[in-house]
Amino acid sequence: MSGSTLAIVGKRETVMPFLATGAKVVYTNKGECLEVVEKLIQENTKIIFFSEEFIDELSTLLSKYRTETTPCLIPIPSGRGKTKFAIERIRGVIKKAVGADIFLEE
Amino acid sequence: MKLDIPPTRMQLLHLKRRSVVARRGHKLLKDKQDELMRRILEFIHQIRDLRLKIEEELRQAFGFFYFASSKQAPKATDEALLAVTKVIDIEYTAERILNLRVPRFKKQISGKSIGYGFLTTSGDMDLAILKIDRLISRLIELAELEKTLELLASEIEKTRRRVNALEYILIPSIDETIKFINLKLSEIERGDLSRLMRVKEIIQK
Repeated sequence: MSGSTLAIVGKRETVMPFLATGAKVVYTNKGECLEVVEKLIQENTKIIFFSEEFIDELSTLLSKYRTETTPCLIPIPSGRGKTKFAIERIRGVIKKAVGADIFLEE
Repeated sequence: MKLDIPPTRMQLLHLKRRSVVARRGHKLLKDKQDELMRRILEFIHQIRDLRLKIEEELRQAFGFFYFASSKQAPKATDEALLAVTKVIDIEYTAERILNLRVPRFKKQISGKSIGYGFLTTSGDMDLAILKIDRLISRLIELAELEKTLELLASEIEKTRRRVNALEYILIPSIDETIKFINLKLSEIERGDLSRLMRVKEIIQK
């Protein structure tokens, strides 16, 4: 099972550095991401980090596993420019739960 | 809204019992909601700080990496990353928070992340790899926290719906029905009494 419980999914150039961490790194492109992540989940991967550019593509999976303990599907920035998808997602979750937008307040 | 229940003494007793149970359930759920809220508020700041820090550091690490890969031959980058002997193992356990099972991860790392010669690669590459390597444990922590947050959030939503359903629908309608049955029963009693009095009067005449 070594390395199989943690996977990082994204475009080749953005996730390549993660090879150094010893995690399983899967390269993917737009359109294939859903399939790749589904396969990883079937292989019992507990934590899956994915580039946040794929967040729209994976939205069905994200909502499907929202109430499950595993897998953890966590978006990470892809390193290019400032995309705020991941923060926005958390913000939405909190807004819905608490009923107020308190995430970015100091 | 009145419940569709026949106004009998039996139903009245039954409803009174239901009202007690509903009130107790409402109090319990309300307490649960408060506790969930307290926990989620604790988490929020922790997650925000961690995520912002991680994003910043990842950006730096990516920067170093891009620098390095543009300075050296693409093959050298591939080779350097192939030489990684590090293996990360995640041990998964579930912890309980109220009725939720939240994941906890323990990592075990073996091997080294830098296994290449320094001749063909640039210094930025080492920096990038060391940075990312240090980040991974924080990322695992973030995964844990974000999942916990998500689970707490959906539980809060669910609990809030239940609390509201009890507070604004079930309990008021039970109360209204109890009141209705009480009125109906006393009306029947009054009717009986006056009929008796009338009958008595007729008999006396």
